[in-house]
Amino acid sequence: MIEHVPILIIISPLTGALLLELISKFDPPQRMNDVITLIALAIPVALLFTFTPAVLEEPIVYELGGWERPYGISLVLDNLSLMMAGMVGIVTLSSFVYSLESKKMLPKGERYYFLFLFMTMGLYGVFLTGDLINRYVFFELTILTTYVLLTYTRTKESLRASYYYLMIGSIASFLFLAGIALIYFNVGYLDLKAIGEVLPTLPIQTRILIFSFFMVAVGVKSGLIPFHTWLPDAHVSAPTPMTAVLAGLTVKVGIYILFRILKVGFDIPPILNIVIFFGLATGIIGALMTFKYWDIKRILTWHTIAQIGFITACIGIWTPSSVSAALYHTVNHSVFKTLLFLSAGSFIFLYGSGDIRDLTLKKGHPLLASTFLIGLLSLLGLPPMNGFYSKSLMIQSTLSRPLVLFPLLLIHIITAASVFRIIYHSSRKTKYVQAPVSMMKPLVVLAGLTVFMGATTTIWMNNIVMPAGTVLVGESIASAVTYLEYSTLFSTGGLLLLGTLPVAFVLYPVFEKVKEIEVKRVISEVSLTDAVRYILIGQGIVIALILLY
Amino acid sequence: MLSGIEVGLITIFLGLYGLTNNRNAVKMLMSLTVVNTGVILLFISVAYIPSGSVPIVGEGATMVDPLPHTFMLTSIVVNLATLALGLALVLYLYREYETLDVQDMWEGSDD
Repeated sequence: MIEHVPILIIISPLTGALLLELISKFDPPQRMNDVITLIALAIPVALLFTFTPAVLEEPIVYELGGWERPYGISLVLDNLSLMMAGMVGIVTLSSFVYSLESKKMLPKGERYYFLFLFMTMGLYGVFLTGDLINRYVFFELTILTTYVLLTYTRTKESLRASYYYLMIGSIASFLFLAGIALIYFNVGYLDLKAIGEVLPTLPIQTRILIFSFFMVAVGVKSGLIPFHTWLPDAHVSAPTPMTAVLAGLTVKVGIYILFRILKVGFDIPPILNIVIFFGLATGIIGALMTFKYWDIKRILTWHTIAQIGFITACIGIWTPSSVSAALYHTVNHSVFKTLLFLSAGSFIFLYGSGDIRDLTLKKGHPLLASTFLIGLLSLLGLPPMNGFYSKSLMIQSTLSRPLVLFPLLLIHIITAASVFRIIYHSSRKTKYVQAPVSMMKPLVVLAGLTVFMGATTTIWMNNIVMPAGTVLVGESIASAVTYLEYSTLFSTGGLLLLGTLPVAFVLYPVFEKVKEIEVKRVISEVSLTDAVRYILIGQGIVIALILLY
Repeated sequence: MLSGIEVGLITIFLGLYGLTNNRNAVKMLMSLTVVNTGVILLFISVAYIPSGSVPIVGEGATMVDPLPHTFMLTSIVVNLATLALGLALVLYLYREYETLDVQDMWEGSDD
């Protein structure tokens, strides 16, 4: 039984989707569709929970059809993919439960469940598969269903955003393929393990050229500036559960591919430096852009971009501790960003507008307001929320690199100021709407998880994240088991995070000035043709590195 | 004579040129297909071994690696799905905006 777990995780949503399509001929009651989808989404989560101890002892490698590597297709369930798959399970399940309860908000759309299940299957596949090609195929599956799911709000904007995402996403996929072709040309293998043995022997110039293709693909998928152009519109115009999945999972696929790609032989200083550069630029610009908007969904979207930048910069340090911290923040960010988007969706449902000046946290809906606040404080980085712990670990791991540390702190300060702005503006109004909030269950679970993951950071880090991060960087597991004390969380990194919060207060008026800077069509709302140019420019920046060597 | 790899790269850049210099939604999708064709050509040329035989184990010494070919078949299928979806979206976009010019679709939006 245990060796079949990886394939069962992928098959379960697929079976659910096909079953839904099959019974749709007989016009089943809505309740039946709900239950089938729920079961299909819950089985993988249950499997992951049941087999976590076994996987931690020994990773499960499943060879499809009994064909061995390097000929066959393999699914790998190790520490890293276990964590990522768990993240997929939590986010998809809670988003789905939310969309069940908020069905009134969604226009009647057939095949919403079908597509949602297909997307879930693709996401599990992306994280579980062992080779580049299947990762591409599964990601295409995810992204194709996402294009359709985006349009379920039936607005002009969502159609436009979907088309935009389709164009940019496809270009990124093709450049990714071109990168794989170049690897194959130089190395002669397509299996990641075999590539990892030959690639490091190639000259630096060739490796930079190949990496430039992957940088574009990763950048577009995870929304790094200047490849982020599709992201804000797609997030804002999507139905709320889909926004949560986009911000929580789809952008993380890019980060995950970056982890895996750097490992095979791109972990050399020039490439790592360019990764740090893109990360820091994305973080600072993304955090500053949040001041330009009043719409809560748009603000949170730019926060996603900023946090992705934060994580990417941290990956660029490429030490076991920084990579583990970045991994942990990836998961934490998924949880609290899903919570934030779903809570924001409930507020929009209640108040009919997403303007932060229109909604109120003070009165009316204490439970909703508190889940929203927990998410915001986690984003801000306050103990005991999980965001604080992973952020402090990230800061801690960059202490030896002041050139990275200070921009990271700056991103933190701007993010904090932006969170203060949201809390300040949304607590001024006292008039509130008296209406029952129905979509509370997933929010409470996610809020609980946000606090729980923060409180149990040491357990997560020591048992799952640190070993995964160390294996990624390529050191033996033995060096990973440096027991992480709870007190280290409040070491320099944590103190720096808390200590810079007053600075955020002081600098707040400076950041408010950002509103007056006109960036329309330059950073936000970039036209489609310009977006393609940005992609080429971004790739050009990476290739220009060759000139330095 | 140009090799398949060079033709593939040229085709990719032709497609990218088309993407940056067209404003018509359908033409942009066509340019996207050109990029895809270039990538497929690049991949197949990279995998080609002169005087290689059919990849059946036991039939001759030098075989063509079958993996890139199967990979490209998958890619073609994926691209077909993307293209179909893209055209469907263009149809809906035209109904909503009554234009195919992508620049016009994005004009006049607030925030």
